[in-house]
Amino acid sequence: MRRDLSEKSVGRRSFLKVAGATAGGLIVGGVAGYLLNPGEKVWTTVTETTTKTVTGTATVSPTAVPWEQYFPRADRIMKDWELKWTGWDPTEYITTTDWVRSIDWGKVKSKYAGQTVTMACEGVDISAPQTFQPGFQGISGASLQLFGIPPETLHEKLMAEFTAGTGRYDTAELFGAWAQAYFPYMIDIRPFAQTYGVDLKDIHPAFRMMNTGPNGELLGVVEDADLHSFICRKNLLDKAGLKIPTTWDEVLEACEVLKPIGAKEGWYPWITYYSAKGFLTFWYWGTIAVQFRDVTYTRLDSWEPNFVGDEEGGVRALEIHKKLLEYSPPGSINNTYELGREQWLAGLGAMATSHQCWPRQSYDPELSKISPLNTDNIIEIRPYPKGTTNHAPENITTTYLGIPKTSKQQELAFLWSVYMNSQESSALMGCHGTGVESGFVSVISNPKVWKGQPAYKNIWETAWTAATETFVYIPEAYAIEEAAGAEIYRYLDGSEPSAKKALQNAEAEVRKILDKAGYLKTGIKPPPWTVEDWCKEHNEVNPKP
Amino acid sequence: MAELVIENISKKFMGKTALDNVSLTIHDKLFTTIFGNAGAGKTTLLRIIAGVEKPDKGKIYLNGKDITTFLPKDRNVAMVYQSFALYPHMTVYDNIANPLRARKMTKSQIDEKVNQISKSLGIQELLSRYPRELSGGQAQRVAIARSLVRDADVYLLDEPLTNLDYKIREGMREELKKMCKDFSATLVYASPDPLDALAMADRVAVMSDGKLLQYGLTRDVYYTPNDITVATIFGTPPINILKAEAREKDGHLFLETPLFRTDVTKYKERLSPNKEYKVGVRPHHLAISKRKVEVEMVSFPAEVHLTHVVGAETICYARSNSEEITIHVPYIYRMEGLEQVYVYFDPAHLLVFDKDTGLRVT
Amino acid sequence: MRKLNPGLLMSIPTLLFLFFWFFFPFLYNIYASMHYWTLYNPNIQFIGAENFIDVLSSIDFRNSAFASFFYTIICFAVELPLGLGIAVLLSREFKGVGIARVIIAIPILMIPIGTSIMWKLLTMPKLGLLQYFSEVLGFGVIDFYGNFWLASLLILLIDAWQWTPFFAIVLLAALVSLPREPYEAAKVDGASPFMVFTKITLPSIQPVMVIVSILRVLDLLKLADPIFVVTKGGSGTETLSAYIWRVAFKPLDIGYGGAVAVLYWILMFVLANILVRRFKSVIQ
Ligand SMILES: Nc1ncnc2c1ncn2[C@@H]1O[C@H](COP(=O)(O)OP(=O)(O)OP(=O)(O)O)[C@@H](O)[C@H]1O
Ligand SMILES: [Mg+2]
Repeated sequence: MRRDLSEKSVGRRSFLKVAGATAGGLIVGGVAGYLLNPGEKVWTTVTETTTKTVTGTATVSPTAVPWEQYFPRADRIMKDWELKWTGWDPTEYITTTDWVRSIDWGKVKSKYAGQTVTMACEGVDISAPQTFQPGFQGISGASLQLFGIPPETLHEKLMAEFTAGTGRYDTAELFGAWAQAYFPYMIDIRPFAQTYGVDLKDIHPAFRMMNTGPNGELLGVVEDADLHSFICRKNLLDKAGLKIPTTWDEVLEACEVLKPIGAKEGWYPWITYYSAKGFLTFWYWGTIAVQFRDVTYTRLDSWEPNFVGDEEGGVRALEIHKKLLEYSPPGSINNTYELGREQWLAGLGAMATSHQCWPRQSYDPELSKISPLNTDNIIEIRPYPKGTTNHAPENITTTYLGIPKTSKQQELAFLWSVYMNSQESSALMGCHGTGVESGFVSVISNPKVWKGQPAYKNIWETAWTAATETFVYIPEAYAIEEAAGAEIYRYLDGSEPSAKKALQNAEAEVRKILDKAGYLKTGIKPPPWTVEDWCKEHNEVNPKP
Repeated sequence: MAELVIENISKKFMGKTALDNVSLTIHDKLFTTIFGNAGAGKTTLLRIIAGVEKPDKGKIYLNGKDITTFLPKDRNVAMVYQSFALYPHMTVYDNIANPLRARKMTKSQIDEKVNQISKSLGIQELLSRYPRELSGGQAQRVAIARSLVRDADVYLLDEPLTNLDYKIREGMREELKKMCKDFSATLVYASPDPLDALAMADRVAVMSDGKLLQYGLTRDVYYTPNDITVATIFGTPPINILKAEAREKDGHLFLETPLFRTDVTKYKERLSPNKEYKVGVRPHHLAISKRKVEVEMVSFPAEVHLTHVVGAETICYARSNSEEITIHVPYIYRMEGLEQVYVYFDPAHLLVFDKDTGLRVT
Repeated sequence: MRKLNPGLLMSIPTLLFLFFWFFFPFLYNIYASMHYWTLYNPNIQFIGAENFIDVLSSIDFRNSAFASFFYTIICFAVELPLGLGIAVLLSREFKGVGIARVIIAIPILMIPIGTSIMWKLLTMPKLGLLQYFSEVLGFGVIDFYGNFWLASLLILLIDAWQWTPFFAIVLLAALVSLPREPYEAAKVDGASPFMVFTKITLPSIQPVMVIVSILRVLDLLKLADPIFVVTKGGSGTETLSAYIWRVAFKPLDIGYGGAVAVLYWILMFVLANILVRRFKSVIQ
């Protein structure tokens, strides 16, 4: 995921920056240190390489543009050790379904040369889109302007721009969970896809379902597709004679066994990736709750929120959530994404649930202390532990690149969004460990890519079982998550001793919001909340391994 | 009984000498003035006595006890500041009472003392006011009251009258002198105004550039200054200084100046013939007459070009043989245009200084 | 013809600015607070005082009001005396005092969020330097983020680290501009250093002290940065500003958020008035 308040993909780099700033601040003694961004380095190198290659081969005829020259190839993005580790031959293209190949760039160039397209990017650090900027400008002849917006204010900023109709951005990064708030202001990208022969169905339904409108209209191209896995360090489990847990009960038992060992060796049985008050609590609890069949975020037949669950599976999930905090480093109750990841990558935990980026970054000796490339650590990636049933949870943190109706460069914006988020580039970004993950069936099912991003294997195998929350289909999603999260949190911090009561309070709060917004009166059935049901309703094939 | 001995005190501020090896003894119950121009080191000396400044070198003894390293509060000296230094957030009463409170006196004792001192300084009605509601003269009285309210061994007053206007200053001089007697206090009074010293002081110490030039009875210092600097600065209007040369003629020794010639045979041992000197005569030792009169005095003609009446007295500025002369007469003298006059003085009042060393020779 | 007062004429740009950037948004906010109004929903409904009732009955609002006052009190209680102490020390003349005065000002120059992050790095379990020392000294890993009291301690540390120098610098400026004589007079008068401090120094710098204190208290009531960084508002540390941010800007609920803002404004207004009135005589 790229956008929550805790900015996963920029998080690692921000962390380095901040670490550098602290050291710098202590040494230089002031603001100067804060401005030196040591964490920037990785990206600067990449950008430079790309630029060089592009300028070196810039003499291309406008009609027949050889896209290979402009496409960000593996050796222009990945580091040497990554190329070696993945066995990736830079001259060989891994995915042949790539969108970029189907577009007649010569025609694009003759139409758009000299024009300008703008993009609103999440984060002040816009080095990720910048990586693709020179290539796109070369291949299209257009110029691209990037506007970085701090993640904390991106949502408000975009909503303000959209409601005011300023037309400032031709394309913008949109956060999946709150996508419904953007819907009224965005175009359906399907007509453009048809024009250019872009096969949008290659995006896995798990990552497409919540930015699809009631009539199948698509909000934007998937930029960062997230799905949760269970990860563990097998070497630590082996040491305690434990098998990799497959159910939550086994997880808690393993935690109990690991706790004393970890206490001696300076690590903890579990790492909590988010738990902070508000929507983060709600999500974390939700990923566990979805493993209990009887819990639905809403009743399927109405909008009545049901967090407790018919068989109190929600209560059980919340109890597990709280228990996990006890096995996590102190203070994890308020963990945000970046802190959890630092703890994981610093080798402070034996087990965790997370997006794809944690395990991938665990393999990076520059980022991770537990990299198996450095030591004997073995990282295993598995489906979420079972409750009464099993779902791949939480695909709501996916990011889209949408095109506002107010844009005057909709087609060019579409071409940019396709160029930047093509199969090949998303595979590269995933294997490069950036935290930007591919959502294409053709990528995540490709065993060659698994070598560079081992988590994709598990994603491919579980994505068809994914389930989300119904609220992502209404614009009140954020308000609901925030309100419910605040109530649920009270059980975690002990101010509400009963898990059931906390969940009931959350139900009441959410009910109030739904009531105010009028959903309870409409009688409209909520949309389906599992990939299976969604595919059925939209007459699509649910891709299974 | 309070005797304050200052012994070889030196003080430098950032390499600049403020006090240079100053020694003097302040006697009990006397009014002693430290006199000197601005920057002479008066304040510095007082502050060192009070203990708020440390000397670089030298010692201070109070009643035979070495107090050089004592904290201000352990010295039992009181001080009045040039800038009054009243506490702006306290009433006059509290200002005056503050030193007594610091000494942990009872409320009634404090009350009694404050009332007593304010009555004698005439500031009873001001007790409930704040310093900002006081005139300069009132503030000064309060500042003085605040120091006199204590039974200090020595009272240090740093130019307490400088910030007051002429009229009030005159009156305050009288009062201070009286107070010194009434309280039988030992006062050390710093001032750049010779009149202060002349009007009040039993003894005066003349300072210049951090050095003590002369210390003694006020009268002695005034009439027999050690050198030309003391003569020049200590006295107002300033003394008249003329070039002179000693000449011998017929067994008599004369001093010749551009204005007059006088017989100084009786100082023969101290003056050398054909040597240059400087002579000084105080303005009030000169008299003027419109007509030439025959008296046993030195006389010379002069032209008065400016007069300045001060009270019932007059300062006349005259010119003679391109020398400027100041004459101070004890009456009102009004001139009508430039006036030709004769200037007289008693040669006994003539002060003769060595031209090179500046030391007084007669 | 009546002439326009030039003072009024020259104030017009400012008044216009104030109107558009303060009065108008302020009134608009009051209007918003009486409606069900979210930015993504075109249907705006008048609901009277419902938002206010919701806010006032919300546990989070009450808790955050408590947290705001709590942090204001503890931070102020630590920062003022500490800042005053530092100011007194730095007002003395000693070797290196110039450099010391510069160094003490550095925290003020740091970006507040950066300061908070720096402290978070120092306190990360098993990773931070402070935690390392704590473990070496046998206190074990300290739960700085999950425990209300310890998190509050960290928030206090962060705020005090950054803002004590503010008190120190301003009070230092006040101290060094005081005339020297009253101090000496007091010393000569026999006052002890403590008496000099309480009877002369404190009353003399009282106006400045009151003004910085009022500024700081109003600022502390808006405390948010360290809370976001340390706990994200969890474990009972959420302050009013953090609460407004969470309920208004993220869900884009300007009706509810507006109601909180109005209540917050009333609170601040009343408090600022009490403070200013109480200390009016001192300031003048
Ligand atoms: N704190 C100080 N720092 C540096 N120089 C000082 C200090 N106090 C006094 N001086 C210098 O020492 C010399 C003596 O100063 P002092 O105040 O004693 O003179 P004063 O005789 O009292 O002069 P005034 O009649 O103007 O009050 C002056 O040159 C003054 O500039
Ligand atoms: Mg002086």
